[in-house]
Amino acid sequence: MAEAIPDFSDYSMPSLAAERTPDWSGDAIDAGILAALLGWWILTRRWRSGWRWAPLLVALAWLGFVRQGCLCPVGSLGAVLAAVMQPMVALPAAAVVLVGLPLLVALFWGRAFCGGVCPLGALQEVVGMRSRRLPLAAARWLTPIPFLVLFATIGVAAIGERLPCVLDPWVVLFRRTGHLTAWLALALWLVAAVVVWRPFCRLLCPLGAALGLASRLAWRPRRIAADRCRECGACAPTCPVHAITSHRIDPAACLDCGRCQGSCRSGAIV
Amino acid sequence: MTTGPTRRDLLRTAARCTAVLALGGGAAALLRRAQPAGAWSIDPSVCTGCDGCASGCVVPGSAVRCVNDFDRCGYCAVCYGYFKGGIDAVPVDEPANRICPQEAIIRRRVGDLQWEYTIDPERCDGCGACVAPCRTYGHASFRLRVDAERCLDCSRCGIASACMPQAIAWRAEPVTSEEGRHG
Repeated sequence: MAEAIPDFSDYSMPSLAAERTPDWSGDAIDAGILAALLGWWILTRRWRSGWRWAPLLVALAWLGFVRQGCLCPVGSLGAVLAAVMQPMVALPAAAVVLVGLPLLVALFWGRAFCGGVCPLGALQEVVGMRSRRLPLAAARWLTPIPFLVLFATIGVAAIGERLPCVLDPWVVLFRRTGHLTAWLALALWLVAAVVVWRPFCRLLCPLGAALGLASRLAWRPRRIAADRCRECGACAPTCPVHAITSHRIDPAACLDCGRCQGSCRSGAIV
Repeated sequence: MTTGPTRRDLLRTAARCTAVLALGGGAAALLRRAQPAGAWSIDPSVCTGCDGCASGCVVPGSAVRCVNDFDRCGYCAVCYGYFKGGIDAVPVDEPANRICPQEAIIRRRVGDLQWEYTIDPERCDGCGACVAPCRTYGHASFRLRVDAERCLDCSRCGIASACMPQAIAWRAEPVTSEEGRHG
């Protein structure tokens, strides 16, 4: 029986084959931007100009609002740890870069990433222009928390989960979607960041804790040159994280924000 | 004060060199594992057409869409993925008799006995309601597919966690054909 030739519509089925070719370019762009921002922050250490702060804004714009907060550096730590322990978890190359480069830099120059390139830190700095530092007593008690979060992140990664992604309140803002509880958490953290300088970095961030550990071995962290220091003590109150005691900078606590530099009249902070 | 490097400085330098080497090695091993070419993809021979793709995805409206594989489709007048009721379907084309809750399947006559079924990707939410009946009674031409444009490439896919038969996985090569089915 001869059938009439069907008159098909112009609908075409979407391809079932891979529509993406092997492509590292996106990851390479992320790595390039990250390396450039870190380099800028380290090379301009002595600058007083406002341009020094450009990397924070670029990082906030790129990693925050263009890449929509995913990957974020803190979440990348969770992704890398989960991928190490669970072979079924997919791992984007950008996550490896976003954790590896800051760690590498921390081994040489301290926590430059925290101070100058972290988009989450940048967001807190933007809202916290007039914030104050935590009282010293409170800071002493709260300092161990990021290390506990780091250990918890490693523990939770064993079952393939990523703790930082659960704790991170900022991604809601970058994506502008989320449950009501997530928006409330964001509001809470934003209010905290208006009052206190970088509360997330000091109270929670496990990547900061890891970078702090690496910074203990740093080659040239931000430091006070003993031969030039007149031991006036003017720098200590300017440090928002209480990293300066007895005319020494603790590289593990120092975020390399550079606020102490202007206070030193003998140019001893390098 | 000492002028040369102290024992402490040397120890620190040694520890730093070790850490840099360990970091480099670890990063190289992880980068080799990271797959830029991969994508989340669904194996239709494992998929049961549950609701996991519509409800487990973090993308609003899901990144999964149903497609009709025309190489398999029988162009049936009574499509079991389209009409409710399986082989006892009453082929009266009205909303109450249709399976798709989103009204995403478009039925169009293309011959004396042949009907073309296409899917509106703007309406489909990947619920898979049409997939299982088409598999059971028909030619298994309706299948779920991760839309590369919509997928965010999460490193931990919400659907993969929800998918009981584990049909969705991060694959370098998406599954394009279904083995062992007539077609």
